[in-house]
Amino acid sequence: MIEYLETDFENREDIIAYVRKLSPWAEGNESCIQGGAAHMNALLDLLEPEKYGRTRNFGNGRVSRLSPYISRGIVSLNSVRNRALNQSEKPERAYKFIQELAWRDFWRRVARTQPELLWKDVETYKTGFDASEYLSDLPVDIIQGRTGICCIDYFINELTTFGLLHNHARMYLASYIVHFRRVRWQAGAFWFMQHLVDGDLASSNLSWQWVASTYSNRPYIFNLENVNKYFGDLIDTSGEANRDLNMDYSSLHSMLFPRLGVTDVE
Amino acid sequence: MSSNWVVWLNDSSLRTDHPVFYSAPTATQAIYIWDDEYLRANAYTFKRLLFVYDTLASMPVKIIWGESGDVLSSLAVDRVYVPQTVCPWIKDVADRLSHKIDFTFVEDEPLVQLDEGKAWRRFYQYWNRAERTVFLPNAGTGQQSTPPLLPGR
Ligand SMILES: Cc1cc2nc3c(=O)[nH]c(=O)nc-3n(C[C@H](O)[C@H](O)[C@H](O)COP(=O)(O)OP(=O)(O)OC[C@H]3O[C@@H](n4cnc5c(N)ncnc54)[C@H](O)[C@@H]3O)c2cc1C
Repeated sequence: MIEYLETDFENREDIIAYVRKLSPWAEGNESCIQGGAAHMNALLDLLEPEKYGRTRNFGNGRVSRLSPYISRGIVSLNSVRNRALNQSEKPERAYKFIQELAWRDFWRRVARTQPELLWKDVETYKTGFDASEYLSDLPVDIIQGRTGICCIDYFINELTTFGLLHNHARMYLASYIVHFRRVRWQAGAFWFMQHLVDGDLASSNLSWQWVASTYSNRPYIFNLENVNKYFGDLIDTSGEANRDLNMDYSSLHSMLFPRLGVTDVE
Repeated sequence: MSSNWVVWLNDSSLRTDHPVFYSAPTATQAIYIWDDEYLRANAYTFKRLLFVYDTLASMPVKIIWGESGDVLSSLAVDRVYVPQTVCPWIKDVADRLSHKIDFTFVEDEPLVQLDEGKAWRRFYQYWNRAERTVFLPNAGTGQQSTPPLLPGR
């Protein structure tokens, strides 16, 4: 017997109630980010590839927020690129935006030809530690967003409430988990995949490996000054509220990677 | 199902102008399988599940409840058209059923003109080649096609 599911709904509340009944085990609440081509088209109309290039690293920069729609295949990378070209005077003005689309295509190609790399360390950690020295499970304070570091808790809350995070915030959070807390990237990547509405194995897991240094030449780390530069308008980036991050890079290197000389990570 | 084939959409291809619809015979029915066991094994949160359902509810697709292999078997189809995906699980299902069903995996529209089979390692190695076509509409391959005719739900 084939069991067909409902597709005609009066409104979103009815869809929400229906999905709750279908999969009652699923944790959390709905996000304000809604699926469907209509929502994607509204975002495409707002695309400003030129401003993107100048502001994308900032928490309140003009990023597209298209990733859930691209990841779920609601729109192709090709269509987004065509649109970006149309909305820019010259192709060069959309350079950065189109290059980011290419990052996604690159990760997809790596995963496609080497699927074993999705969950396996591509290379060894370049942190002075062996993979066996990292925790296998995420600590509870991270899962609950109670690390006591204001900006990290803010990013965790964004992830678990909306299922979407700015790229820079993903990098900070991944770096915090792997390098500050010494947790294996796989634990963080599984957790991201549970929450992200744009969750995509290739883009996520290979980016985790890039941060971890198992798929890059050195570990990615950050400090409070950097968070303040890009997210200072949005979050409390005071030293008191973010103690563990409030260091210069060379002290941070020695604290996080005591077995490496400073030059090994610079 | 009235015909012997279906398009099996997955989480990385929720749209009706995917090239899979040009590969499949005109008016092939699209299905999506709500495989609760798989979703649960990945512990996907509600917001992720809802985003997918929001999308499915706005598309001409039949949503079917069940374990993917069982559903495809009970549909008694002999060919399944699948949008290409990196998801290892879709490939596993296809491998398990390949003795009785033909699976045709169809690539999405390309962002760049490059061999799909090349195993890249570092981004800039890829980018040096990608740059030649990535700034051209449709990667310089000609026109995007118009959406094919699809059956209703
Ligand atoms: C640890 C980590 C995990 C990540 N997990 C995912 C994931 O699960 N799914 C996902 O789609 N992206 C992931 N990314 C990449 C990137 O963070 C998001 O694609 C981006 O933040 C989405 O926001 P946007 O749509 O506003 O992007 P924009 O900056 O507007 O970029 C436009 C599109 O380009 C692509 N893109 C942009 N940056 C990247 C990038 N660095 N890598 C790959 N593609 C990119 C996306 O499809 C994005 O929608 C991850 C990055 C990191 C560091």
